[in-house]
Amino acid sequence: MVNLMKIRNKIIEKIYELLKNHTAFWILLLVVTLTSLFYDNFLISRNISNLLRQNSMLGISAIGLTFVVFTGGIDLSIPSVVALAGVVFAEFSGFGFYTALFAALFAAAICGMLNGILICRTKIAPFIVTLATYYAIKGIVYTYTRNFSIKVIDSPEVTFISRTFIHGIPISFIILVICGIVCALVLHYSSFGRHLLAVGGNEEAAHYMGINVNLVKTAAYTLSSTFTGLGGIILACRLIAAQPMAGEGWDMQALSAIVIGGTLLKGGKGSFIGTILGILTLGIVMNAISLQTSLSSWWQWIVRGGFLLIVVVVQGIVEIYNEKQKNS
Amino acid sequence: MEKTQDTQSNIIFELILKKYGTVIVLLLFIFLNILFTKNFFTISSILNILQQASVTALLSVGMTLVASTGNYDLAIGSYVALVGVICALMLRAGIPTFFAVLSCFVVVILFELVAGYIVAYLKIQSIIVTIALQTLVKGVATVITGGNVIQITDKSLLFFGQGRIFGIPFQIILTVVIIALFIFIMSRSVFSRKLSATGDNENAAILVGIKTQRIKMMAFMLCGLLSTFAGLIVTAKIEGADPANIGADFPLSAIAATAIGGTPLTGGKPRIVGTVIGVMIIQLIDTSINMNNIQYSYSLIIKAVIIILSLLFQNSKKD
Repeated sequence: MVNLMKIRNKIIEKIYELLKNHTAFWILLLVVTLTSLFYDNFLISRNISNLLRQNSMLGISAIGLTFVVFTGGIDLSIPSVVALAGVVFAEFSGFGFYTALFAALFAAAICGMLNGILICRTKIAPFIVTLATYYAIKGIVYTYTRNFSIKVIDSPEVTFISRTFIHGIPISFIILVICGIVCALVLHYSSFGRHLLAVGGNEEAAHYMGINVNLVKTAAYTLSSTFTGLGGIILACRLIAAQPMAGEGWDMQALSAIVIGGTLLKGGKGSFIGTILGILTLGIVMNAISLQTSLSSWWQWIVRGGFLLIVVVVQGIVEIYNEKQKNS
Repeated sequence: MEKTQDTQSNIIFELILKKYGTVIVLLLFIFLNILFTKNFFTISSILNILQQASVTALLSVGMTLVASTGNYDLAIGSYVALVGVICALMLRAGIPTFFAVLSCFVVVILFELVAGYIVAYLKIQSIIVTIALQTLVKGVATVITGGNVIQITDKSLLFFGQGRIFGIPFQIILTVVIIALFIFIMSRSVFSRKLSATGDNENAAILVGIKTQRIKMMAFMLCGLLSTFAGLIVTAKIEGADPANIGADFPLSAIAATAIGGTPLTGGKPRIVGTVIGVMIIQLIDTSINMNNIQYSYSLIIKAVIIILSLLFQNSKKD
């Protein structure tokens, strides 16, 4: 009898351990299973490749934002950086693809660096600084474009990064996965990655350890904007036009994906792969709503909000349960 | 001797700058407007500015309370939209105005109770909880109306946004009374001390015996109360419920006003007077840009610069 209890406890513990360490993966699996059970036309290759293509731009930007979240910060300037990168790319696309790519990424990186320097120099909360740069960059984009979209001059490369599929997998999704893997490697195997987590975990302690906190933070914001810029460029390539309104709401969606991926918003812990899984989860939930044609499009707000709330609450309960186990 | 005097005056200057920096920015703004904006210094335009500021002021005071516990509430814009929808539905069903308004308060405060509970007891970051609630509540409100505008013609409800008492718009009076009440309460109640203690150093507050979780929930619920008032005013102003287009900008403006007002966003003493000054600064930016026919795109840039500058004033030489 005692043996049986022991075995049972052990099994529960194992399942619990698995669930605990890979929450994002399990959530994704659950969502995929449910969606493919309820909707026959979910698991067909056209739907899947479309889904991957739609979410990869937001995903690349979310990868960037993950750097900032690691330091315990937030970046609200994402939507305007998306628009800015698109506009710069469109303006330079006449000079060749690579010139335009470089110019747009450079512009985005400058925005991120500005964010980082302002946050480190003035000690104003990241929320407010990036809110201000959001307004400022948006203002610049509107002033420049006069609220019209700008045509991107088409080239083979533009088609390649936005509208090409390899065995049904879009190139933009492959770019997202490569970005995720490279960032994960950087996080785990470089001193920058360790410094990033140290700064997020305890800024003061990191400072006394001899880490250049300001440099690490500025780098995080610069990376965030650069990745967001890349997302914006791919979006502009896909639409063959840069729109000043592009990217609205991306900051909140990316943040949701990051949280679903298991990254702590207070910093110091998390993973890039989790972010990608989070993006896919949210994408599939959105996809399921569009497959359910009887619901009006307003329902996507309810489902997205409700889903996020449930995930977050469950994560919180698991966390509390964990702590209780640790203490007892 | 001269040198010490010099540093002394420097210190005093810095103190003044730190304490009254936002007031100086506001006065500067009013002064510039009087000089350059036509018809600025007339009673009708001043009333107009106050009228436009009243909604943001109510929301920002609520946000200040939440921010002083170290949290954000990004869902207030959606509550404003929801209030309109509830009123419209209730009135259409023939329920008396009083009960329609009452049910708005009940529903919004219940939502905030849930938000506060999740933030305080499950210890989840408020920013993500309120993003989820913002999306959810906005979705519920829009699905109910189907994305359309529902008109409201009830006279007593419209009084919130269009009524006048002795020529002064009722919403200004309401806002001033509510905010004065909050300033009064916050300056002498135990609750305000507990609020500051919770935001400043939660562990210390717990050790002193403050039930910080309850305080956080209270802050969220008070924020809900104020957002409902704001929602009633907005609903009466536009004479209907329009959840698809309303409320997206409110939380960001409210947080900006709170930060300009000097409440630390990481938690600490709530500075309601400062927040009101912050609201006035943001409102004056909008108004002066409108009255001088400056393009919307420039207004965004100017807003950004002023937010950063007024915070720099406060933070100068903090260390």
